[in-house]
Parts: sequence; C-alpha cells; structure tokens
Amino acid sequence: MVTEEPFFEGESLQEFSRKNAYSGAIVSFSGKVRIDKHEGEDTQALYLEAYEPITSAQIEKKRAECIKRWRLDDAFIRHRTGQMNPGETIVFVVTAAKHRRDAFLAADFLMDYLKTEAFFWKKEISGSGSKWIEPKHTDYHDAKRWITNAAEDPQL
Amino acid sequence: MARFEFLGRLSDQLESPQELSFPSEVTTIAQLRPWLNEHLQCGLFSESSVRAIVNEKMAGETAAILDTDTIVFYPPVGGG
Repeated sequence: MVTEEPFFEGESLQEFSRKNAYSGAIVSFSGKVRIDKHEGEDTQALYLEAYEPITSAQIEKKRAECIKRWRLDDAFIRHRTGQMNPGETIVFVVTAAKHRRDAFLAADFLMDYLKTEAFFWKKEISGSGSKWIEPKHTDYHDAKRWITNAAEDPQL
Repeated sequence: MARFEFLGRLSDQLESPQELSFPSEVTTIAQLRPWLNEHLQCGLFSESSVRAIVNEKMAGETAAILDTDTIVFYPPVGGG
C-alpha cells in the first residue's frame, strides 16, 4: 500500500480490473509529480515521509469506510514515499462498484482524505533548497465536503 | 532511556532518532514539552499543532510516559 519503490500504475489497474471483472464500473486516479514554479524556481523533486506504524493502518481504515459508504466491490490504494522526480506517480487510487457514480465519488473521497489527513509529510525540492509544505486551503475545503455528506448518509 | 523520533520539518532542526533520559518527575506529554524545549534548546514543543505518539499510538497531553517508551513528535500532516 505504501512503498518507497517507483511503480507503474498500469500493472495495478490491470490486476485490479481482472480481480473485479464483474463490477459495472471501475474508476482510477493517478497523482503525479508536476513541475511547478515557486518563487521563480522549478520544482525538481518531491520528498514524502510516512510514519509506518500509523500511515498504512489509517489508510486501510479509510479504505474500509469508503467501501461501506459507497457499497463498493473493491478499492485499492498505492502511495509512494521517499524522493520522487517530475513525471513519477505519487499516488494511485482505483475503485470498483456496480454503478459509475459510486465509483467516481469513492475515488474522489479517498483522494481528498489522502491529500489532507493521511499521515504524510511533504517537502518540495528546488534548485535553491527545500521547503516542507502543508495542505492548501482548497484541499481542506475539498475534504470537508464529505463531512456534511457523511452526516446525511443513513448508511453510516 | 526513551527513544525519540521527530518527523517532518522537526527533523530538519533536531537529530532523529535519538535516545534521551528525562527526569522521573516528567510523567506526561504536557510535562515533557518544556523539558524538551530546554534540553534541545528550541521552542518547537510549545507549538500546540506539534502532536505526540507514544509507543505507536496517538497520545494526548495527559498521556503517561515512561523512560523506556518510544515517543514521536510530529507537525501537522502534509498529505500525499
């Protein structure tokens, strides 16, 4: 689930699709390292740190919650740690459900969780040095959408 | 000796991991904070957003600590 090794999500998607061959909808998302300008400098790499006694266990708990909430057939998450270069995949999420809406919503929910609450610390590395970064206001705003929805969801 | 780990930006300023022995009158996370600030000559442990984990479990301010524990301090998570 959490790995320091670079991975190719195509293989994970193929395996997941085979495993869930009779699901009506499969939705996947890949988050990649992009080249961003910060104070005139291009991002050269991203460094992610996890605290393994907690990071994977919390992700697994959220995956189980997500499967129950959207009545998924399955969900899979793979997340990188360590140093990553532009173009490399940071995170891969894939969901399988009977219908597309549930599969889309569940993938969106998991990504909002991973971007704000998951147990990672993130550092951007540029030519002039490195800087630890925290979630943006918009990331927190996106994650909060699900709290209201959860309160209204009789399944929870 | 307790084993200390400092995560994220804390590790830029403090050696991590490291072993430290704190006085016996320090028995909770709240009491540990000023001792660490003084011992490690920083103000990081005054930040309320810097939280603790004791023996792999999230720990509040009143959590009991022993000199044999593994104690982790971390800043707000950055997400993936």
